Amino acid sequence: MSHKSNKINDFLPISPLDFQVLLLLQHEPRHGYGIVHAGEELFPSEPPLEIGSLYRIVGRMLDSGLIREVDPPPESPRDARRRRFYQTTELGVAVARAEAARMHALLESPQATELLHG
Amino acid sequence: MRGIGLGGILITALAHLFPQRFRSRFADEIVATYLDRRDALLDNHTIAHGSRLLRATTLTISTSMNLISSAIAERYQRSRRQRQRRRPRIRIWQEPMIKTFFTDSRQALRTLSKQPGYVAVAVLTLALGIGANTAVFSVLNSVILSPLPYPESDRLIRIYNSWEGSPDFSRNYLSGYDFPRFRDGVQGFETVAVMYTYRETGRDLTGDGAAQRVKALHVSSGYFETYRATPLFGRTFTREEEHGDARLAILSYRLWRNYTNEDPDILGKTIDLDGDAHKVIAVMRPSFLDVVGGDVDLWVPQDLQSERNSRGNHYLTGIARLGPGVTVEQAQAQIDAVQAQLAEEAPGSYEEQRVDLHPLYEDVVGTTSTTLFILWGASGLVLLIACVNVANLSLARSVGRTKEMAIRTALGSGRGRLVGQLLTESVVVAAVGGVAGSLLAYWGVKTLLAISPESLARAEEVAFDPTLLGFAIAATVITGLLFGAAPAIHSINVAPNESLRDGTRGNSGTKRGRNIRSVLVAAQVSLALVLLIGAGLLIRSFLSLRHLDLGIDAENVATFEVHLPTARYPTGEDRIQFHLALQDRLRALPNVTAVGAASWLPASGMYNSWGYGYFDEAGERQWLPAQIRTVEGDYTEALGIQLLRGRTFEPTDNLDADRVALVNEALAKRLYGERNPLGEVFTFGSGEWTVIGVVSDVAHEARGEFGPRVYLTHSQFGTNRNWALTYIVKTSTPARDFYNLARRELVSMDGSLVLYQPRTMDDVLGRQIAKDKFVLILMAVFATVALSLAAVGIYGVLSYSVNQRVHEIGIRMALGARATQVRGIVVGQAAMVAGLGMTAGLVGAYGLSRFMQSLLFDVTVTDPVVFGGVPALLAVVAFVAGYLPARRATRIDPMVALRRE
Repeated sequence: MSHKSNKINDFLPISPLDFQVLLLLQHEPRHGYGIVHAGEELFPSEPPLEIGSLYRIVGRMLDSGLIREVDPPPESPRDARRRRFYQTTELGVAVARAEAARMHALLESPQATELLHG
Repeated sequence: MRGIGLGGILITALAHLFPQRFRSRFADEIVATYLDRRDALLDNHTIAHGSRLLRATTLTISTSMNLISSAIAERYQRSRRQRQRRRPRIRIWQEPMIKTFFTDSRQALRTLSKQPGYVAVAVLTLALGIGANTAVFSVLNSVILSPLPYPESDRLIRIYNSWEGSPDFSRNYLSGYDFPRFRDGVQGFETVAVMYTYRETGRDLTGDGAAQRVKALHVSSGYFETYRATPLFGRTFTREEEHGDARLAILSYRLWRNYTNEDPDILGKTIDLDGDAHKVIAVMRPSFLDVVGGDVDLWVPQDLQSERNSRGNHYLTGIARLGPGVTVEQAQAQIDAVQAQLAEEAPGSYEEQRVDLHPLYEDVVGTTSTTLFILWGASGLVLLIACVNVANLSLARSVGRTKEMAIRTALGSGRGRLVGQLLTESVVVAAVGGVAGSLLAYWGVKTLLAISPESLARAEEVAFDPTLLGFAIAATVITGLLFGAAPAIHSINVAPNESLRDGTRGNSGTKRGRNIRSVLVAAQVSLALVLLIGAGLLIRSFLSLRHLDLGIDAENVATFEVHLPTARYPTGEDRIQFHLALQDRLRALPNVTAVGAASWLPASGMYNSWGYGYFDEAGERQWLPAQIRTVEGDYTEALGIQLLRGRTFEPTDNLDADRVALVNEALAKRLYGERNPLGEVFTFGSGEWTVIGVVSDVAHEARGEFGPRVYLTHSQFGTNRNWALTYIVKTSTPARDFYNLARRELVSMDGSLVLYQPRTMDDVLGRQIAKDKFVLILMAVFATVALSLAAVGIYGVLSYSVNQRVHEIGIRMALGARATQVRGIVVGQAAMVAGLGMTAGLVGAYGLSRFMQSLLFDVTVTDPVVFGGVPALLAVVAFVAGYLPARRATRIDPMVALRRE
């Protein structure tokens, strides 16, 4: 366990965009446009994911095992455009959770509370 | 589904910017995602068509920008990741930074101590480059680049009277008659003042103990205000005090400290000047310095009321401060109007006269600037040569260390640590060089000031400037880092096994490395040649200046000044009697062969220039500007001036006799041609004079400027004013021991008189060419430094190349090559490098030498002796520098050389 938590901590903190992608891919597999679209819907206050940046994140997370490529869901459209679907791995979920906990702890601090609530 | 469209094509093309691996993984997806987004936008029918198109365009643009920046980032990160992958990912203990620095410094010292030759040459190069430059820059900076030491000094101007068509009078003085009119009539002047810088500004300060000669400057009211200088305490002169009976004095801080011992109650007390009590009304601040009037001990009011202030008597130096926003042109127009008015009031008196305003800065710096800019250029060249040398050294050293770096990388040294190590080494060498350079610079500034002539404007203000030192250090250190650390850093990027595989010599022996170094040395040779030619031209010029015939014989001639205070010698008769008596006493001294005196010594510059009035052939009255000298005794004999016609002055030419004069050959030829000028009568000042003799020409200036000159005898002209006479005594033995005897005679006649400025005539002449000598010395120093650095460069490259080629030379010798052939190879290389450099240098020197024209005397800028001799000298040095390594090459034992692999 301690080895694993060490590995998780190595990733922290992660950038807001990385965190967004991990969250978006947590429950269902999405392709590129799916990620962008879901991001716009679910996190309207966050800066939009640009395509170049998105695929750099995807590439990096694939390499580090935070997400993995999965088979397209049966209901996805079949056309000439190549779409691959990605989903957060167990490690990815753990990292996202650790990041959330980290931020939560930060937000729970009296100083942050004072900032937020005056 | 829509088609790919223009946007799609653009995005597809941009996806190619990504690295290969990324592209193959994601390019198709990137395009697909873009198209999906675009389609979603275009298919969204809740918004208007035009708005949809706009949004799609915005999407395409923002995606394009993002792809470009992402591709750059990805490429950069990829190379970083690759480097990281090459080295095993081991967590190493991170040393604290300060400790790393000390470790590196120790390591650097250890490495460097094994290479004393490199260190010595590098430090010497840095020290010379930094030191010489900072010293000259400091002088230059203080004298030329810094503004005058006054508030808002750009508003200060100098006022000249000039006579059209007469170079003698192009920058003449103002008259005491005109000045008050200018003061009242030119509204553009905030303040304006005059001072009497002309001469005779020395005063005898008597009181306790021996009399002391001090420099006093007569100034009008407004003088301190123009410079915006306020007294430490007390007040400045008022307009009402601008008369001859105002016995007031303002002391300099120095005189207040030295003479009155900082007497706090000095105001209102009196000091004795020439036996006359003067009331002290102020003490100036120590920082006040008059760049026009010079370094003086005290100020007294200028008399602007006596009849001496006639229209024709031009003797005052004018300065002014322009009002805020007033231009020189505006003030010029106003002063022209006043001048026109003056001319109207006195028709004829102001013909061909003009008043010119010049910014004070230009006026003060004037001719000094050419000299200093040439020196600046020369010091820049030395710095460049030093940098090239440092580059060469560093390059040689760093390529030689490629293997060391490779081994250390292979052993797991971090890239950052190696770079840090190299930087530390460079910094250590630079620090030592910098310290040595600073010392040299400090000493250099002091030496420069010590040998700098009085004529160097504003020399008083020169101070050692640390920013300049910083500049020189930065220049050389950056060069060192660039050429030293850069190749080494590059070598770290090379995979260690590649370097290690590359034979025994690393990359150092590659032809490219040698070529770069040869080009650097050639550049050095060419720069050195430029400097050497510059120095050569100056030496030639100085020699011809030295041997110039000034028309006098200065051997064993002693000079000194005697000033008689008007208070105790009020009439001309008193002064004439005193001088005649003193001459008789001096003549009686042992070894004295002739005693004369003059109002101004030959070859000491222009002095009194008056109009020589004569009638031309048409019977019209004409005026010729001529230098006038009041002389006494055996003036011509004492200086070896020849009498060409008629006679010289005799004791009978006194106040009771007719007024007589001598003219020089130049004047006689110009006005009288072949006619005999003896007996001609001319107007001079307010009287008429008869020519009784013609004497040979003497130079006005040490650069041999000859012109019309008139001599009057003090016995007749001593009543005109209180002339300060300079005694000229010819002795049969060297003149040095003469002064004590002369002083005794003087003091026995009048105990409160001072034998002022005792100098031999050689000394007087030497001072005149002191500036030329100063420039010459500096150039010679620069040239020597350049030559040494070039020699070091050639030697360095060749001995290094011999080291690299030991194996090859060994084989050649084993195969029967003779020593001369081996030497030929090495010396040939030297000849090629030097030849290349000299060709470039000759072209450069030819191009640059014309800028030196104004500094040269009697030498053309393309002097064949210099342009032939200097390259020959450089060739000899190059040969010697090349011969030493060549000789070493022939001593190589083929067996040892072959075994060395």
